[in-house]
Parts: sequence; C-alpha cells; structure tokens
Amino acid sequence: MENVKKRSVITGYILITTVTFLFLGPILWALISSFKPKDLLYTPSLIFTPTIANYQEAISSINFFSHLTNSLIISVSTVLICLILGLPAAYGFVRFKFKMKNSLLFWILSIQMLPPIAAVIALYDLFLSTNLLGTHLAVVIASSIFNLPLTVWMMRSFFQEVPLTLEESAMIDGCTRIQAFFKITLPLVGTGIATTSIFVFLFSWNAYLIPLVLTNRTTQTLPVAITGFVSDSGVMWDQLLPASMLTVLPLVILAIFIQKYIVRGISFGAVK
Amino acid sequence: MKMIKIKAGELAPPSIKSKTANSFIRNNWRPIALISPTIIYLMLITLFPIINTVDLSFQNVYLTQQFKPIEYIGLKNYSEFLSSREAHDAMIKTLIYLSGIIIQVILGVALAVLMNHYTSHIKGIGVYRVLLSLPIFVTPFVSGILWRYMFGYEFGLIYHIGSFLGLENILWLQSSSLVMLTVVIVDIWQWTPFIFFIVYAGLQGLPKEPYEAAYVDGASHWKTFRYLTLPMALPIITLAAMLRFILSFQAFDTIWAMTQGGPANGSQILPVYLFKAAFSTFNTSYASAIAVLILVFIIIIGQSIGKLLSKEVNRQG
Repeated sequence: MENVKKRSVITGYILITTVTFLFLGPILWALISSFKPKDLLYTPSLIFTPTIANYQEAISSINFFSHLTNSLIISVSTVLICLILGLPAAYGFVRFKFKMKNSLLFWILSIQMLPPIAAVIALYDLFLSTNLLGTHLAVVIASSIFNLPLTVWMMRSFFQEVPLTLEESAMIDGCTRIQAFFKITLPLVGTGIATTSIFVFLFSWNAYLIPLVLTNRTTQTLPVAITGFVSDSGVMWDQLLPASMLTVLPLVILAIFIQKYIVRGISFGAVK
Repeated sequence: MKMIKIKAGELAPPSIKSKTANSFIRNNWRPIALISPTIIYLMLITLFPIINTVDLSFQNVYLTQQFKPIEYIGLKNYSEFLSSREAHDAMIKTLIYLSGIIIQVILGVALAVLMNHYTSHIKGIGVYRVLLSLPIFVTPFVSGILWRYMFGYEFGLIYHIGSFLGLENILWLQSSSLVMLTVVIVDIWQWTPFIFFIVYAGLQGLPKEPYEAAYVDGASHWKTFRYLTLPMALPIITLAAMLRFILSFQAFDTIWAMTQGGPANGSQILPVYLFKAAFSTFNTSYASAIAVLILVFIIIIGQSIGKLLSKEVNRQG
C-alpha cells in the first residue's frame, strides 16, 4: 500500500515537472539563446561560452533606456489613475446600497471586455483631434479604459473581506467614517492594493496594440520598440532575443509576488 | 452608524418618499461621491470612441484623405464586409482560432485535476505554480517572438527536433495552410495556464467529504472525476471557458509578432484583418464597420458572462 503510494507520488512529480518544462520551454530556450555568441544562434547547441555582447548591442541600438522610461512612465501613471478613481469606487460599491448598483458594476465589467482592437481606430481619431497623439497621456488614458474596471472589481473583492464591524467599532470609539476608513480599512487592504497595482502595471506594461498606434518614435514603449528588430528583410535575432528578455524580466519578478492572487486577477475578483 | 438602505421590493423608492427632489442625492451623497468619478471618467472615454466608431462605419473616411468631403454611404461598408472574400476567409480563420479554446479547456482541466490530486504530496508546489503562470504574464508580443524563434525554419528548436526525428520539411510559419495550426499551438501554450489556474482554484474549494465516501466505496479515478469532480466543477469550468472566449478578440499581438497575418493571409483572423484595413490600407470606415460587428458580438457574449459572473459573485458573497 505504502509502496504504491510512493510510486504514484513519483509519477506525479515526473508528470508535473514535464508539463511545467513544456510550458517553460520557449522562454527558457530564448533566455539561453540570448547569451549565445552570434554564430551559434541558429544551432541547437548547448555548449558555448555565455556572452552579454548581444545584450550590450541591443541596449545601445534601440535607445533602450528611453523606451524603458516610457514604459515605466505609462505603466506607473496608469496604476495611479486606476487607484485614485478605482479605490473609492470599489469601496462605495462594497459599503453602500443604492439603486442600479449591480447594473453599474456589470457595466464597468463590460468595458473590461471591450477588445482594444475595436476601440483603437476611434481612440486614434480622438487623440488626433485633441493633439494628444504621440504623448504619454494618450496611452495612459487609453490603457486606463482597460484597467480601471479591473481595479474596481479586484479592490471590491478585497474590501469585501474587511468585516464591516471593524469599521463600526472604530466609529463607536469616536472615529469619523473617514478616519475609520484610513485607520482601519485601508491598512487591511494593503495587500489588495499592492496586488491590484501589480496587475494593472503588468497589463499596461504588456500592452502592444494601443501604444503601437498611439505613440511616436520618442514615446514608444518597450514592446513596441523591439518591433524595430523585425523588418521585411529579416529578424535581427541576436538583438531581438536579449531585448525581449529584458522586456519580460520585470514581469517574471512581479509574477512571483502575486502568486496567491493570480486567479483573482484573471477572473476580475470573481474566483478567490 | 448610518447606512443608506434601499431594500429590494420596497413599495416606493426613497427619492419619491422624501419631501424634496434633491433628497435622493442628499441621502446617497456618499456612494455618489465615491463612485461617480469612475463612472463619469469611463463614460467620457468609452462613449466617444463607441459612438465615433459607429458613426465612422456609415461613412467613407480614409485616414490618408483627411480633406476629402465626408459622405454618409449607409450600410455599404457592412455589405462590402459581408461579400468580401478576404473577410470570409478571416472569419473562417477566426473560427479555427476559436476552436483551439476547446483544447485549452480540456488540457487546462486535466492539468488542474492532476495538480489537485498531488497538491498535498508534492513539495515546492508553489515553484511549479510560479513557472506555470509565466505564459499568462509574458508580454503577448514577446510570446509571439519566442515562438517565431522556436518554429524558425532551419534554425528553430522545433525545426531541429523535427529534423532529428526525420520530419525536417514542416513549414510551421511559411505555409499558409499550416500556419493556423501553429497559431493554435501557440495559443494553447499561452492560454492553457489561464484555464488551469481558475479551474484549480475551483477544485481546491470543493468539499472533501464526497471524495472520502467515493474512496471508501472503491470508485476508480475516472469514475470519481466523471461523477464527482466534473459535475461539481462544471460552473467554474464554464466560467473559465467563457472568460477565455471573450478575451479571444484581444488576440492580435502574438499573431502580429509571429506572422503579421501571413503568409498570404494564412493567419489573418478578424482582429488582424481589422488592423490592416485601418492602418495598412487606411480604410478607416471599413475597419470601423468590422469593429462594430465585433462589438455587437462581444456585447451578446458579455451578457451571458455577466450572468455567470454574478452567480459566482453571489455564491461567494
């Protein structure tokens, strides 16, 4: 009996490890290849002296740091807008009862489901006519459309976990409603705010279509800028691979922090 | 502690009960103050694009011809779309693309059941989770790049493995008849973890007692899955599948990175077709008509997702 169980656990390890490797494969392969000398880039060879020459070339040839700055400015601003607008709204949806509450909530959710491709022409038109095309602000506004609903829904699920009685007892102790919110509730949803911010940061960092259409050469984000390594005459793999790795590196790190809340983030807080 | 209470089924809403017309706002000033900025902001930035897109779809606007007089041409863009061969082709490609979701759901559920079965026996399950979540978080455009490198003719890892196995002439990205298969494979890689995470969370929340009873009764793994897990997890599996389905129209970045819709329009699904109409041939109005059709489709699907989500949200309180 005990033996069978042990064998089944080993089978489990093998199965799960294999599957994980299959899913990790393409990322791992590109990561390894990005350190290969140029002449080995098109071979399956795993024996080589790692070099960072390709990284150095990639960084200098697309003005990497200015695009990194663009990506940071846009993602951080999107997070801020989403929190400033979304936090109070989420709190309002949890703590108050009012007419049309549910229809408003689902109206907000329906905006999240809007595919960027269906909105991109009109957004281009909007920012062209307001002279905002090519600015960071245009991308921030556009990307907040797709992230503010997520913020409201996720923060709503976090606020729901703070018992109302905590706020009430603080108010019995003499706090005003606003003091109770800032002293009791807000610290309790700290993890929620951090998690939501990371998700919004991630999604706006990863956006491609919207910044592709709304930015110009100087405001391009990283994913758009690396398109420069792909041309009709071919792909400059030696620089594209390191640049791609640098683009996704921050995400891999952030993904570790939000492990517990992945499901909440991808299901709009519906599944905990 | 004052709460604004509007009980369901109350005879008259408080706004009518109260003496003045403004009292609804006075009674509800807190939630209104908290929520209205978000509502107004979202209305401003979504209503304009939507109205503008619908309006554009009835005109003959070309992005490159800003100074041409704008004319309303009725439903001409829509009829052109419905009769265009390229559009039909794009719709068929979209259907092929969507059929991949079935495989993603099956694999995602299988993986969730597998992980759930071993969760308590395997150490370092957290590490596996982090690694499995990466396809969800990797920039979709970069995912396309990674796979373009994997499938690269004469240099990709898959090509090398293929030629090792004696299958060297598979044109994963170069054959217009094969390229949709490649796209579906990449999509399976990208989205199976999405299904897995939602379903796995659902499985973890299932009650344990029925499983103990099934074990005592000596039920097989398959029977336990078929008659216990599947019926209990069906709502969450449906939810995951629907979410995946509605997000499928966001599929642009990965395909754009891999093939730009090619070769010979072989991987041109609707979002790619729309993008090319808007920003390659600059036929703004025609592209807007496609956008409107996609929107209508999304709204219809969104209705049923809304119902599913609200059930899930109510169930969890």
